Amino acid sequence: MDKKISKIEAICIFIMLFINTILLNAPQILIDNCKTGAFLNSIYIGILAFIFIIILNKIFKYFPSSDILDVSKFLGGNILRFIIGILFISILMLIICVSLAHFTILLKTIYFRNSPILFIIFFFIISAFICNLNGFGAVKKSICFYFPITVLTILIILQNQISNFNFTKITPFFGDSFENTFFKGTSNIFIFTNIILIYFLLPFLESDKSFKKITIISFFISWILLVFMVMIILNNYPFNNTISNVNPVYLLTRKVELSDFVQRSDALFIFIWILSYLSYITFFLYFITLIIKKIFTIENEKMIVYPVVPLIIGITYLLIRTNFYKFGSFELYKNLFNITVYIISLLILFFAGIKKKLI
Amino acid sequence: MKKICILSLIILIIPLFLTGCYDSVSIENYYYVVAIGIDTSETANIKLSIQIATTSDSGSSSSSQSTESKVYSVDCDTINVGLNILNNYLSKQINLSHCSSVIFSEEIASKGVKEYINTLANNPEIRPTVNIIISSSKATDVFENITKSGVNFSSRYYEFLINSDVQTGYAVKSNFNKFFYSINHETETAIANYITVNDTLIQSDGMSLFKGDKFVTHLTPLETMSYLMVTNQLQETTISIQNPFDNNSSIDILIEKQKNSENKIKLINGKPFIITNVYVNGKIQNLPTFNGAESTDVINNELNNYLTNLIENYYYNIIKKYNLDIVELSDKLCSQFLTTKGFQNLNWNEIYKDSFYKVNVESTISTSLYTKE
Repeated sequence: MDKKISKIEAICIFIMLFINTILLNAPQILIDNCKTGAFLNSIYIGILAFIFIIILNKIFKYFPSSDILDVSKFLGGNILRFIIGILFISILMLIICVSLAHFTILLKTIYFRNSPILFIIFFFIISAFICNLNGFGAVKKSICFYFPITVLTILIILQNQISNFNFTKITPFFGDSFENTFFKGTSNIFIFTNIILIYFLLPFLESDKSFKKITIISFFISWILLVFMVMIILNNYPFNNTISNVNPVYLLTRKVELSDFVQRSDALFIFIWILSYLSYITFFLYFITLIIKKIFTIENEKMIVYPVVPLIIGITYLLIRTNFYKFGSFELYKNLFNITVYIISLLILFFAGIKKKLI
Repeated sequence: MKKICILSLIILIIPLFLTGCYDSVSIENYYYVVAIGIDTSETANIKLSIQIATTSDSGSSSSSQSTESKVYSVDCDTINVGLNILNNYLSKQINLSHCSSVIFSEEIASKGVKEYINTLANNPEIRPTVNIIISSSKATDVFENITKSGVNFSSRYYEFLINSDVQTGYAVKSNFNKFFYSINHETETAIANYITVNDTLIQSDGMSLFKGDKFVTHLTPLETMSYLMVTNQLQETTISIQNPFDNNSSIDILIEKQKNSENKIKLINGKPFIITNVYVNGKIQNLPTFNGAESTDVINNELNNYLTNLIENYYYNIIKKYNLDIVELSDKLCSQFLTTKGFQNLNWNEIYKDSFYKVNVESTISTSLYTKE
């Protein structure tokens, strides 16, 4: 019973994962790639992702209470399940390690200049580790608990900046070129990291019927948040800015003023985001253990956390020491995500659907 | 057994709260810098000065914010080196989180400020709302004059200095964040406050204009007022116009925004054509003889002419004389293109100086509250 999630909980988790993606610089990635075209690009990739979700909904109808691993097993046996499992583990590991490297560096730059980087990594990983030892109940509750305050921080930023909105800052609408915004810009669809959850959601739902509602509602909210954040960042920071390495979403918090009374509230925002980020990596850590459990048929998933955690610490530290988190990891993650989530998994679902029909 | 475990855990945790924080850093450990001054130096790259608010020993100060100020200067190659040197010989650690202004002397600003601004932008203690001020003389002169003037120095001194002029329409509100991004932008013109120092008097004197990161010139308070009108930032200001009924006297009119000004730009024969519509309300502050509605119309026309000339002069100066786009007209024109490349092909920096403009001012005059119409 502890492993089931209600409709509201599922929506909270879905949106929370995406908010963390936004906080981890997703809008800036679009802006770097498409310049002022990022606004149209965010709408465009949202439409593509929405069509994709509709297709997933159609195909998953044939596989009630199954996730992508079950479907892979149905299509190609244990070998295909193993391959898909490894691909998803790689993506999740990259999400955790790269995001952890970025967030750790941000915190070190801003607040903990004298603290060793490993201490900050340990702080996050040990919390995620303890939460995972307490099972899925603790993981989902931690996300749902931090969800309202995290959403509130985003809404405060939007509310604070929307009054200063200048339409000309998001123009020309096509950015550098039409090609960058629409053809090359298609690969930006990897921004919707929370789509990964859809592949594993069904077995956790109390009722399969709510699957469609959950995916569509939560996707729409995530999409709207992305479009607004892109607009706000474009409005505040010129797209040709290559000097500031600091996360622009954090920079926006430094501008938040609630009347004359509350100023410099960025520390409060960061504190809330640390909690929110903790729940984010806790959730992905859980999914890594879940996939390992399934593909290697291990009974106790809690025991899997023990070897995974040192691995994450090691990879994250390596990424930081080699600066790979800044340069190489991004392209690797983008390609791996797009190929696995949007192409391979879709093909598997498609052929499994045909096989199911034929049977 | 469970009780023993919980009790042991509590006993283990409680001592943590009883320990002293040996490495805690409290407010007494810091010198809070109110303003940073950057000047040219003969012996090094820059002369870095910091102004620190210190509490008066006599305790005579009535305001909780009123303090005295101390100034420390050092010749150094970069800001960070300067701060390190100051940290080295001051008894407390320097903290910039309450810094309200960064003052550059005109001399150093004309050589370029990018290096200093980027250094400060990388310091997380610097607030995005810090004022950027260009001083007609050295920044150290500004600090010295404040000390000499005998005013009750407050950490919000510069805020008051600039804000009072913003309300009169003679100065702009520029902040670090906007300035930082403007000097790193291809087409935007960075603006900052401009102050002049005379004997013991420090006064805000319009606004400074930058080309790239180099200070070019400063606009007079009247030009600044035009800028504020055109960009919808004017709150209210009092102007003096010729009395149409008596050549030897003038009329004071309090003007305020009636509705948002409109700035339109289009290309005619490859040259930008700027149309600016300004809408103001005017309240007559003084008029010895007043003959009802007819007089109002005459004064209204006089006011329209005055403001139109003022804004046209302002446009002439910024376009023809300085070739600076401070109204962000490039953004407006850029929004008419579908791609950035289309706009870049236009070569904005070249065609801007050939711009021509039309200014329309619509004003509505009324008498002030205490004068009978």
